[in-house]
This record gives sequence, structure tokens and C-alpha cells, in this order.
Amino acid sequence: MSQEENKKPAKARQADTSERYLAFLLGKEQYAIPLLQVKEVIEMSEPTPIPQSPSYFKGIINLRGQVISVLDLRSKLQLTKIENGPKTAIIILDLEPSLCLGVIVDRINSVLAFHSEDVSPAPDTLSSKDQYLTGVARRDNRMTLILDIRASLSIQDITAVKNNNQKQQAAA
Amino acid sequence: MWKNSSILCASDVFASHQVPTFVTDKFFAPVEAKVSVDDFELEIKNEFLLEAKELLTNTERCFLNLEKSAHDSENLGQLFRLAHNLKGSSGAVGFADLADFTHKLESLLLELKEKRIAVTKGIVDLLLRCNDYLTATIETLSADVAAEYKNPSLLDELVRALTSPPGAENTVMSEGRGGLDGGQSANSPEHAEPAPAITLAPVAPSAPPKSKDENIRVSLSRIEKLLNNVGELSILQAVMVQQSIENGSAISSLMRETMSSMSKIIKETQNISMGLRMLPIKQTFHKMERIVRDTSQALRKEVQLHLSGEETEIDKTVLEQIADPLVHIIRNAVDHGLEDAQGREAAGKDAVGQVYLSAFHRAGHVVIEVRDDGKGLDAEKLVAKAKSKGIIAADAQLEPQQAYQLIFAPGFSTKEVVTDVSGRGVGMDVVRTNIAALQGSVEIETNLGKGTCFRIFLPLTLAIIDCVVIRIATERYVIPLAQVSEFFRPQESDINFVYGRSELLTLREEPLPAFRLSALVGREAPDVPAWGLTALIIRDTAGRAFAVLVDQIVAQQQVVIKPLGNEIRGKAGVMGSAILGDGKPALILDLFELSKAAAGQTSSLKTKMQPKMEAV
Repeated sequence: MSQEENKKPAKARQADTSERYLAFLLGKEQYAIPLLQVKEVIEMSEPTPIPQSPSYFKGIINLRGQVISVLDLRSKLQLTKIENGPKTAIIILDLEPSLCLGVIVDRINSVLAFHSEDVSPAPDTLSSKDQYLTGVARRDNRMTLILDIRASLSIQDITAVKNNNQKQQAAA
Repeated sequence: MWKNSSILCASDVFASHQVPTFVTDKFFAPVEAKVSVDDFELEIKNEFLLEAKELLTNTERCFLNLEKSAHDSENLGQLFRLAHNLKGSSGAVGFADLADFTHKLESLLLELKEKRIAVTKGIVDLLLRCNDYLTATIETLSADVAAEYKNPSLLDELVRALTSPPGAENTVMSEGRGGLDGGQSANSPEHAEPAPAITLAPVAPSAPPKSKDENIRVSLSRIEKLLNNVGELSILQAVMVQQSIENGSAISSLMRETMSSMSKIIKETQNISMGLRMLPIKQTFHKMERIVRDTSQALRKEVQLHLSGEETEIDKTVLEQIADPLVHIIRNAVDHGLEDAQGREAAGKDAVGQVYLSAFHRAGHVVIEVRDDGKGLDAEKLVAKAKSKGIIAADAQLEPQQAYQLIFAPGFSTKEVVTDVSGRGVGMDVVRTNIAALQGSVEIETNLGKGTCFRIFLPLTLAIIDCVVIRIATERYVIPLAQVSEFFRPQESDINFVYGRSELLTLREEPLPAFRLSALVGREAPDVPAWGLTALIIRDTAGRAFAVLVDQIVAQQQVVIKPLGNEIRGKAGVMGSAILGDGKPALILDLFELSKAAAGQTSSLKTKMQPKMEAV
């Protein structure tokens, strides 16, 4: 849907400074990621668990014949655990190079366009959580945390799933 | 790059009589008009490379045929047209050096066609090398259109062959030379064939009437998408059938009928779409002709290769990966299998060695046979050799069949001397590994003094496997049926404990180490006795056996293997995933891998198993 629109530059970026984001909730906080990284959003379906994987690695799902790994963004970002509800959704990410992953979020809010002046740099703290933030956008007194999804799922960590397993195997 | 992602949908595209022309007039721009590599130019270049690759698929065979029947005019005509086509279009799209090269090649072929130069072994060698060069060049250019591809020495050789053919005692040769000297001095194709110009005209029209090309090229990824969707369709259909059974009364008979015909159509669609991945083995077989020719020449043996079953269809992925093992087996047959001429005569055989390569379908498998009429395998010699190399224990006792399998052991070679062709003891090891990776197996049948037959069994496709779906606690896993030799429900008396911890299962008086699958995959194992569980008995090719205990066998079915994302692809013991009947994915497990990891834990068992493993 929206991905199609984004491919038409004239329509997607009326003002050359604005970019579109998909906003969603993790707990009470609103987060956003660039819409171009989103393939689609599907409703929560229980993944098949994978043995010997980290707790945030929820398992695999069948997306119309394609098997996709699903990660829990809440537990990956070490946020308080919230039980899955009817609004819980999976965002299917389309990251280069050919990395297709699903992340579980609490609720999908909307597609937002932010101008560059709306976005201020991420707060300069040392808390590990903030390393995943590229900026903070403010609108109508609401704060949206813009997430660097690649960093937050850190490819190293994803490969660590693999290494971890190999280590466990070796140890065993 | 397209090589990996495209498959041809119909088999007859390789049929030798079809030489599609791809030179259209609008692309006939002078070479000088070449500017920077813009999109259009890139497009026509890529177009050309694709077509060229297709043209070249069959040429090696034609060149080889040349050796057998030097004056088969149709064969020569076909080669000539090929060179002519390549020359025209390579020049047109701006590969000037390639055009120059193919022009020389064309001239030489014309000379052969006109019998002004005799077809000798040297000429065929040269032509084959030209063919290799062309294939390699097209390959290089496909990766990078700006790549350097000149080969001046080969060009020189061509020119030399034209002026003074090797081993030429040809009377008509001098006539030909006059006409061709002109050709070499002028570089542009128009002036290139002053003398042959007259003969050129009849060549093109004499081409067999081109049957309309009814094939289209479809990328593998599109076919995969189609397969995904068709698979999904049949899952949805199964869900619907389930629903209709549960709500029996609420469904009208019309609905029921529609559903029944729908399921038939879905089933058929699935079969058809699976067939799209299948290609005839022909091309791979034809490559073997060259291997036999080169190997036998290097060894100075005379060998005749017989092909049969070239039309046998096999999955594209399997096809790509079977070529290498086949080359090794063929080389092995020519080098080790067949005796030299004296040896053959001493044994009362014809001096020319025979190698038979055939393919056929049998019971859901593709079978490829490589049979030679050579000296056969000597079990005693093999065992002695293996002992001297320390591959098996000095006191090991082997059955003949086990002894034959020794030739697949790494570092094993029956040859005393390492030659160019073989003898390093690497090849056959690779054969077994590659074939095992394809979920296939190799069988050896040999008759001392009469010959050897290698029989390779391959699955029809790698995309689908027969499997059992098993359950441990609430999780389901898929296990390839090929790994399981039997199922067994152990009684209390069948289970023994080693050091109070590891379990040992006795099956027909054979003690087998038993692993809980839950422990193998790292799940918390519920503390239940083993005699309520089902045991899968796993036996590897070396005869090593063990049991894996699961809660329940859910189903035995065929599944489509789905790749996993990179993030979990490398996981040890996981072969991939599959989508089960209810639409949920499950992991396909490799029990051999999993048991290897577990073997370390049960070292007491390992020592017990040691003599068994040692023997093989």
C-alpha cells in the first residue's frame, strides 16, 4: 500500500524535507520507523518457537508461503513486558540486503510525516536504549521516538543468534 | 548471474536444430557509433549475451561430432551459422574484438565446410578451445560488460590454422589460402569474405525452417513465488475442507461439488508448477563427452562413451550440483576403471574401452549410471591399500560391499602415481559428499575383470521431501524420512540405563544409544519413562545406528522445503523449514547433526560404539 506510494517521489515527498514514518506503540511510548523499511503489517499470529534462541527471538511464521523470523521488539529493547492483546501486531520489515524480519509491537498507530525541523537529535544519555534512537519528533505535545531499526535489532545480535547456537552446540 | 536465476521452461530449447537468430536490422549500427555505455547499449549488450549463451549451449557437442564425422554438412552448417550469428551481433552491439575473433572462427569453419582444410584432431582441439574461450568470454562479459576478454594467442593460432593448418597434407589448401589472406587484412565484416561471399548466400536460407520458438524464459524466483502461492492455496483448501466437514449440514451440495472440483484443480496446478523446475539431463550428459575426450586423450586411451536417457528430467538445483560428481566418476572410470590398450587385449577385450552413461527414473528417484567394461574393483587390493594408508585398522574385516565404499574415503587412491587426471584421492571423496548433500546415495556394482557400475540415486527434486512430522510436548518438528530406517515402540524391558543416566535401547538384540529429541534440541525434557515414547531408528551409511525418542508421530507426508532467513539459516541440526497442513511452519531437523553434538555428552557410549565405527 503505502510502499507503493513512496516509490513515487513527487507524491510521497511534497516538501523535500519531510519523510514518512510508521508510528507504533511499545508500552506507552510512541515509536516510529521510516516507512520505506516496512513491507507490510499483519496481525499477531503465534510463531513456532525455535529452540536455543534468545528470549526476544519469538520464532518463525508463515507469511503466504514464506517463512519469516519474528522478534519481540519490546523484549529486544528491554522494555517492560506487556501481554499480547488484540491490538498486538507484527511489522514485516524489508531491510537491505534481503533481510526480511517480523517485529512484534503493541499497537500500530498511523503513518506520520515529519519535516526535518520537527526532529531533534536523540537525548545524549548513556542508557543503552537510547543508542537505537536517531531522533525525537514532537508534534501536538506528543513525543515520538524515531528508531534506528537496524541498530535496535543489530545485525550483530541477529548473527549472534547463530553464533550463540554454535557455541551452545560446541559446549554441549 | 542469470545462470543461477533463470531456467528454461521447456526442454526442447536445446534441441540441436533450433538455432534462433537474434540479429535484427535495427541493431546493426556501425561499431564506430559506440558512445558511452548508456542504458540502451547496456540493454542490447545484455540481450546479446543472453542469446549468445543460449547459442553456445550446444556447440561443444557439434565440435565433438566433427571429430566423429568430419564431413557431416549439417553439423558444419550449424556451426558456421553459429559463428556467423555471433560475429554479426557481437559487432552490432559493440564487442568489436569478439566480432573479430568470431570472424576468424567463421572463416576457418567455412574452409572446413568447403573441405579446403581437413578436419584433424589438431583442428578440433583448436575449435574446442575457441568454444571454451567464447563460453568463458560470454560468462565474463555477463558479469561485467566492460571486462577485458582478449586472447591474442588464440587468435594467432586461428590465423595460423587458416594459413597453414596443422598436419595439413591437403591438396586444396592452397586455393583456400588465397581467398583468406584478404580476409585477414581487412577487419570490417563487410570486406571480410571476398571469396566465400558466393558460398555464404546459400548457407543462411538452407537453415532448417525455424519452428516458432515456443519457449519463454522465466526467472527461478518467479517460479518460486508461484510455488509459494500454489502451496498456500492448497493449505487454505485443506482448511476449507476441514470446515466443511465440521459444519456438514450447513453446506449446500453445490458448494460441496465446487470444493471437490477445486481441490482437483489445485492438486493439478501444484503438479504442473512443480514440473516447471524440471530440466532434461541432456546438457550435463553432453558435457561428459568432452570430459571423456580430454581425459582419454591425456591418458592415451581409446574410449567410446554411450549416452542414454538424456531426456530424463531432473530438478534444476539437483542438475546443477550433479555435474561435478559426475565428472569425477567419469574420469575415474576412464583412468582407473578402463585398462590401457595392451591390458585390454591381454584380457581378451576390444582395444576401445566402453563407458555407458545413462539416466532413468525408478521409484521416485532419478538414477544415473556410469558403467565401464574395465577391470573392476578388487576388494582385497582395496582393503590392503586402505590398511597401508591407515584408513582402516590393520585387523579390520570388511565385506566386499564395504571394501568398495573405501574408494570414497578421503585420501584414498588406488593409483600408484599421481597424474594430471586423477590419483590424488580427493575426487571420489567429493563425489560422496556432494551426492549426500543432494540427499542421494551411490551404489557400486563391480565384477572383477568385467567392469564397474556406479549407480547414483537422486531425489526427483530438492524442493519436496518425504518426511515424518513428530511432536515433543507442544512442538512439532519435521524429520526427513530418508534419515529414519524404522519406527519402534519400546517396551520397558527394551530400555537399559548406562551409569544411571544415558539410555540404551535394545532392538533385536542390538544395543542402540537412545537420545531424547527434547534434549537434542535443548528443550526441558519432561521426566517420563522412555517406554511410553516412540523411537525413530536412525542408521547412517557407515552402519552407525542410534535411536531418537519422541512423544508422538503426528503424520507422514510430503513437505515443501522453505529456506529460513539468514538470521537462523546456519543453525546446526536445522535443514530448513516446512509449512504444515494447518499453515504453521515447523523446523526440519537433521538428526545426524543433532546426535553428533549430543555424542560428546555420552562419552561412555562413544567408547562402546568405537569398534563399530572403526570397522567402517
